Amino acid sequence: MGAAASPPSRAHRGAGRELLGTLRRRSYLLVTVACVVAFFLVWNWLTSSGVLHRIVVPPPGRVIERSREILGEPYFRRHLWVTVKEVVLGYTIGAGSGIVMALVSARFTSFRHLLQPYIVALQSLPKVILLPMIAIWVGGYGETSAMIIVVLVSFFPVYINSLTGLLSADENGLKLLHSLGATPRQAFRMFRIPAALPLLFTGLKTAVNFSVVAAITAELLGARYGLGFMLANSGTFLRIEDLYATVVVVSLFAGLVYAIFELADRKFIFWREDRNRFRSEERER
Amino acid sequence: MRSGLEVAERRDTETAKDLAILRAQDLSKVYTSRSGEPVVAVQDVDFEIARGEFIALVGPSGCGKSTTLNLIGGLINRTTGSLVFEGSEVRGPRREIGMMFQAPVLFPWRTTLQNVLLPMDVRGEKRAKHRDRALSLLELVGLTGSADRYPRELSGGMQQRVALARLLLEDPEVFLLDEPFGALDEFTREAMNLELLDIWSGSGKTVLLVTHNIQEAVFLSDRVFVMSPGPGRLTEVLDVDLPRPRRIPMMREQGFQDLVFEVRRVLGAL
Repeated sequence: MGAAASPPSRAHRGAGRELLGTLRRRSYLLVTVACVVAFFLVWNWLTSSGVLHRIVVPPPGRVIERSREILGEPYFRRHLWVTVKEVVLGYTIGAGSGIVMALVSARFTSFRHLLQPYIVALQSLPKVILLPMIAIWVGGYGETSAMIIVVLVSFFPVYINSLTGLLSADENGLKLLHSLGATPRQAFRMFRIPAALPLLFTGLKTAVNFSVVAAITAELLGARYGLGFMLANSGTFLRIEDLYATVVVVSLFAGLVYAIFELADRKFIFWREDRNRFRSEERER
Repeated sequence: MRSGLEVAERRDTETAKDLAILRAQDLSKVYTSRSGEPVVAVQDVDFEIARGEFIALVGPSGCGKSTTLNLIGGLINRTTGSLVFEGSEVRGPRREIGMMFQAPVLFPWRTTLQNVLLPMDVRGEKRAKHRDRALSLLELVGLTGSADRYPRELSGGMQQRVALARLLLEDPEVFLLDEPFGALDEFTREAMNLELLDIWSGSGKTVLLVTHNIQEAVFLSDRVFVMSPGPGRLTEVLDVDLPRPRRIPMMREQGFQDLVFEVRRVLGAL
């Protein structure tokens, strides 16, 4: 700030502003880190001092330790694998058919109108309530019923977002392609589809979050495998450390999946406008 | 047997036909509004445009300038009348007629070069075949070295230059320019206008430019088409007999100012 007060040499002022900016950014980071550290310290103190009994809340150190142990145990791994399989398979089927149906709906209006009532009816429905029905169809609560729920929850965000993207393509782009003599098919391929990608990816990201939640919820409600079952089971038998460790693993799994999609989004939808707007604001500051 | 006179006459009409690249007769466009009522956008427009002419279309909003351009571009169909390009009725978009709009309309996922090459993608031709020409057109519009940049990295003026290069790559006979520089600032617009004149002069291409700016219309064109609204009509055609090449200082001259004044009078803006 001494630099800012000194005579207005341009380089000097620039350097001063830069330093100020760096300090400000660093201070945000510092506050964030300090809060996280404080949270764990308080948690640790609450458990070690006995304010919270270890049966209710284990100390953070133990949770981390147990999470690492549990990941090495074949028994736990088997359950983890079940959930991963449900999410990956269910999501692929759900999101995949969401994309295909959106493409067909955008291309053929009659198909879209035909589909419309079912979409409207099912969209706002909490999909988990269908679980007992699905369980009867597939012969019980388990991997299959959980996977079907995942298919259902991942279909809608992908379908709705892709379709909106495909239908809301900028008029000017279509006008330009028309003037160039492009066929509707070409306009679809060269403009509508790429223009819909940012929204499609938003749908994919929403759906993947839903998928993890749906799989675990379905498992919580009566399955005998999967992370959801592990949570329910550890709770029932008061294996508190296992319960917390499973929560950590689930969070890591969800976080990892989200990170993969976020990275893919940044790579493939590099022109995304909402993000660019934010970036250019950053640059202006 | 035909007499010599008849043959000569036929030749005369043929040459006249050859000279006119575009001819509109009783051209009208009626839209149906959302409430179901007919809206006359353009009514009984007649004109003949010679090959190589630079025409400016001026008039207030709603006078049918853009509709006229969209009709010529084959983006919309006329309701009545005839519109002939080189002897055949315009029934849809065609290669010989290219358009440019107020918005640059660049695809954000394409680089500058890929955007310029869009017309060739539509035609299904190999990009590599047209790459060199696309690059030299980018050079022509002053965008050397921006070939691999994306639209968001370019300023508004630069984006419109890319759109111009894309139009030039199409290499149409008729350029339909719908206020192409209307969204740019005054200085950039003037610079772009001069560049457009440079590119056009000696090219033999026909230009129809829609503009709100009377000075710009007079400065650039051979003839000014003045249109008026409610319903859109072509009210008057003014010849601009100023020498070429046109240069900015000419705007001070009496002849130029008289013409601008005349256009204003016709528009009723006095």
